[in-house]
Amino acid sequence: MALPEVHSATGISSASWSPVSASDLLRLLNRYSFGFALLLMVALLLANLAEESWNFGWSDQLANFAPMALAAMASTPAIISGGGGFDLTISPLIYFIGEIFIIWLAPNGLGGAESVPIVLLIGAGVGMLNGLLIIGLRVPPVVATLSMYFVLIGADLKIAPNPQYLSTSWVQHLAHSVGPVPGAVFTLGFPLVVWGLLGLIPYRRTLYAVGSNDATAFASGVDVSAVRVAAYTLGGLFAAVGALALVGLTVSANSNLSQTYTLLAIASVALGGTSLWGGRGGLVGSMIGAACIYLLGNLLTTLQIDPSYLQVMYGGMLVFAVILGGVAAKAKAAP
Amino acid sequence: MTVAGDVRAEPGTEALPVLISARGVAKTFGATQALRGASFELRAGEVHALVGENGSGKSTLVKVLSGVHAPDAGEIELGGSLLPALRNPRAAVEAGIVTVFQEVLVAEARSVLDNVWLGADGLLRTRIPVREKRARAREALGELLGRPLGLDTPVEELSLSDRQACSIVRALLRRPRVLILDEATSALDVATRDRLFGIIGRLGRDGVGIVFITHRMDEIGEIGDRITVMRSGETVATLERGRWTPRELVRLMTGSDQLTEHARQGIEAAVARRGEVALRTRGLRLVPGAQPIDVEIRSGELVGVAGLEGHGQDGFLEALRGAGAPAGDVARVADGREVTLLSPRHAASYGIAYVPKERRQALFGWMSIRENFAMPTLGDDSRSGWLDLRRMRRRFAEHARRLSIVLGSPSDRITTLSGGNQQKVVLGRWLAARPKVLLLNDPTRGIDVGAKRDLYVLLTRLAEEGLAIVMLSSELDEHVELMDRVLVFREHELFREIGRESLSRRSLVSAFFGESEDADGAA
Amino acid sequence: MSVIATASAGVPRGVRARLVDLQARVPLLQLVGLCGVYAYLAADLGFTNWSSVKQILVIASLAGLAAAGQTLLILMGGFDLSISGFIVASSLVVTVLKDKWHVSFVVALLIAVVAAAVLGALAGQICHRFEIQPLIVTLAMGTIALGLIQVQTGGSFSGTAPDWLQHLTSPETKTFGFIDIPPPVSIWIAVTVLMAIFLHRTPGGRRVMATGANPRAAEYSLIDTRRIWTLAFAFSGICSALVGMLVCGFAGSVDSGIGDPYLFQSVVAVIVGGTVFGGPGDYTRTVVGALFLAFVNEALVGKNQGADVQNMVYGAAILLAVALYGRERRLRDRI
Repeated sequence: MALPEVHSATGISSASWSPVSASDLLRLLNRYSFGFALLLMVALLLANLAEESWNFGWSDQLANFAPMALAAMASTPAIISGGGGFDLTISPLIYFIGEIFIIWLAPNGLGGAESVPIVLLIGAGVGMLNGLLIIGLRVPPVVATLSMYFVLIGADLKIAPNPQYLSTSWVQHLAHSVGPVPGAVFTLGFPLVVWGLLGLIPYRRTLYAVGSNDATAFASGVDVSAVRVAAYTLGGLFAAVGALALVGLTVSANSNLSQTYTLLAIASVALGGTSLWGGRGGLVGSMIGAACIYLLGNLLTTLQIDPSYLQVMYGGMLVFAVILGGVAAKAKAAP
Repeated sequence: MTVAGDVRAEPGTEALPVLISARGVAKTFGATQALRGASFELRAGEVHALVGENGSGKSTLVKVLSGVHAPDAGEIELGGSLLPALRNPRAAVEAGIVTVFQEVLVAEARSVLDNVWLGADGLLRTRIPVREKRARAREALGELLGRPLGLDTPVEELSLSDRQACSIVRALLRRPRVLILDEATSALDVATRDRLFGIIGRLGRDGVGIVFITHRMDEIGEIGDRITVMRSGETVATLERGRWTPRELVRLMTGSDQLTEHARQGIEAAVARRGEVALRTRGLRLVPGAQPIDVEIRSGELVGVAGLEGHGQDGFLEALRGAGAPAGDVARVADGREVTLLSPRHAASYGIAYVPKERRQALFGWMSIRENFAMPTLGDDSRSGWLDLRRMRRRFAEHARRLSIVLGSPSDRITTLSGGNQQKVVLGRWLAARPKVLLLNDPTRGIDVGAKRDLYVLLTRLAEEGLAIVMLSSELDEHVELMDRVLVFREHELFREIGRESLSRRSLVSAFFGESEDADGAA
Repeated sequence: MSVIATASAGVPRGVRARLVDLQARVPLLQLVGLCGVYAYLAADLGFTNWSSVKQILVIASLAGLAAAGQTLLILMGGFDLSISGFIVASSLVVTVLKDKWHVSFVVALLIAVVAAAVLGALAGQICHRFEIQPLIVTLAMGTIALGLIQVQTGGSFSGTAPDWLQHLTSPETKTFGFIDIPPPVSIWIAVTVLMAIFLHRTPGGRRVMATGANPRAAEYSLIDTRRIWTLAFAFSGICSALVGMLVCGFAGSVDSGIGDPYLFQSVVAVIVGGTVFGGPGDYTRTVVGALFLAFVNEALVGKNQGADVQNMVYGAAILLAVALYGRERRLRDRI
């Protein structure tokens, strides 16, 4: 069977075989954007397992991991939607929803199963507000979400000036197990399932097209505004799940920590292969990126390295991840 | 110049039903009135060319018809019934009006298949099953390109011409009643363009109405049934096939009838101004494995760089400005010494100036006209670190006069100027640096005929003053009118150098296609 | 052919157009707002004496000085989020580490400033070379800087600022002993003048503006944009380090959160002052913005509103300012 002739920019048919070069590797990296993070994750996982003599404690580890991974996944749709897309609000939003759960829902008898749709709605609502501000006011997403970031930090402080604690709640199962299954599977699984379902309808690939070139999408008849608002709404939705995971884990709400996940989420997204210019990457990549960061942190803690080094490490990984993304982007632009 | 042969043999278009009838369309952007009472009529099955200078309103009219902009006034009828204002491109597509815009519009990270079907589904429901999409896409791409194209290839891996082809196929797959092509052929290579004309012919026979905007006279002659000329936001005339000449078109577009007013200099005059070697390429290869390029550019010369899009001309110009190349180098020759160019900044210190391809890449949007002018030569205005604003004002006034730049005040934003005047500012910016070598990358793209004329006169004058000028242009007429010799590039190699004596549109095009020199027979 | 043609005769010159034009050149609205807030403070809260105004001015000057670097970065189209990390790190160096390493104050300060400059320059290089959003790299750098210092201090915050420094930053101190302006404010005035001269009257300033307006065109115009980015980021780092010294003098002691308010206020001051992403704008506007913000803060404190409301006001202020100034082109205008 003859190979289909694909004429690349240099006019040279790629049907002819040529030795694998750096540009081929980078092209592979572009097509499977989370490839690098995946390899790294596997390596780190093995290192962790070795250090802990295979007593990994999956349930607990996943529960610890879940809030950060969900923060990363929540930050992803906005970035994919392009046009400078970015969502700085995720970390304070997670804490905001967590505080609402602990301070208003649980004590008023709404802390059971009914809390889930309420919480999801709040998250989606804030996300939608972000999207509408960006689309309606036509301000850069970084600026719009930065302003909402401030608003949410303030709101967090206002609702819970002091740390609040939760009495026993079903939410704690999310951090332990539901039968034989680790609870975190449900929280981590929710965004993945939603994202998968979105792939069955045209929305997801339209989102990627909008992120890749919004002028083209618009000229082709796509409702770019609706696509983008939906992306930010999804981010808020996933953040709400992150709030449930966090509350289940810490059984408390501490507004002083509301900025914890900001850097970690961005680092995870970048490491996982999602391009900050939009149109590339995905939720799975962000989760893998988060896993890399988590596992490395875990490893350093097990090796009893000074926790301040952890901060340096997080910052370093972020720089590393974005440089990697930048190199891949440049290689793409070369031909 | 003769009108080229017919693509379709229909006698006339008067008998065909009217598809679109636009009357009194007006549109204002801020202080600019882009359209003032323009009218346009498109019949089913006809190819209606729309021509005009930049600022004539033709692009705005197209955007109004495409739903990109809503008109301030006027009525548009589609198929006999009044069309409510189209609020966005989606509404236009649903009404059956599909447009291919000039800017090559593709979603780079997505596959060919996704690109050609972009916008066809809603957000929630897939309207066309995947198998059908693949089959129809394969068929349409095959018809336009004449070869198969991998449907799952990311579009960013394709050449510019293939990307534009995807953009065109996207429009064709929507089965339009009205197809609007806004300068859609500028990025296409000639083979694809010819196949496109064939497709257009077929569409016409099926009753589709086609609006065709182009700057190229030969294309109008080849496929245009009727031509509507616009000027200053109004429709000036509509002409039938065979009843117009290029001269008359130019007269209608500009109000004067010369494409270029300056007399084409004789070969002796060109030889007279040719001076010493200013630039020399040594073993220059634009891609690994290509034939080395060894040329000399002399002062006082006007050298053209031509070829089909993406065949190495840009790379050549980049090498000349000092940006390097995969192999070989470029040397600046002055005062008997040869200095290899190491970087654009290094080259600039030896008097090499470069005007980039797109104005957008050269202008500082929110800064004033004067600031835009002065930027590379701030050193000339500063004494011991302090900017002397009066000196800057004087320098600017001098150059504005020399270049006949039309403006309100030098401290106005650069965006208040027309495209042609903006380009003059960019040119002035580099002339202020007193270069010895001037490299220009497609400087007259999107500029009205008047400004083009001014530019040609200026370039000839500069050559007389001893500048070495190398100009890349995508317009055949420019090369024929202006250049002493033209370097034709093909597949990233210098294919042929055409001297003034044999310079003609035919010799250029046949060189583009790699035909041997004696194939310039009769048409 | 005359240069000044009558081409512009068609442009309407109503009062509104003239005001808009003026606002573009002078921060009119902000000055009006500033006077308004001061009038309110004077009337409602009795802020009529110079002493209370001096207090506010010192706070404003610290934020304003931190915003000097931020102004340059926003002019170039990015954000500097390293300010808070550098402020805390610098404060720690001149208090805790000065004692731990047994060096003089001057040497400690020099170390802090040089380290900040180097990290800043590195951030600038990375951002330019790999085309990454400064927001991300500076976030990482701030975290890295703080982490590195905390490794040295062992997590302790026990330092106190030397007496002379506390005296220098006190609102009651007179500059040079007799001018009734607190030294930080005098420094601020000097910096304002220097920045204005730099941005408007030197080639370097024009080049910075050009780099922000259109990086590609700047390169074509033979501007070394990489050097500009490196120097601008280094400058911002130096500002943050110096402000860190002043802040710990003003506060008396150091804790992990002293940097955050200055980061937030620096962003708000620049944006509310009217500097747009990528330009136009300048530091004088930022000064007006910082003053406005300081007075607004004071009004809020006077009404017993704390950090929570402050943050929400910041968020709203940014949104309002950008909605007025920084709106992007419509998608339909980009086709």
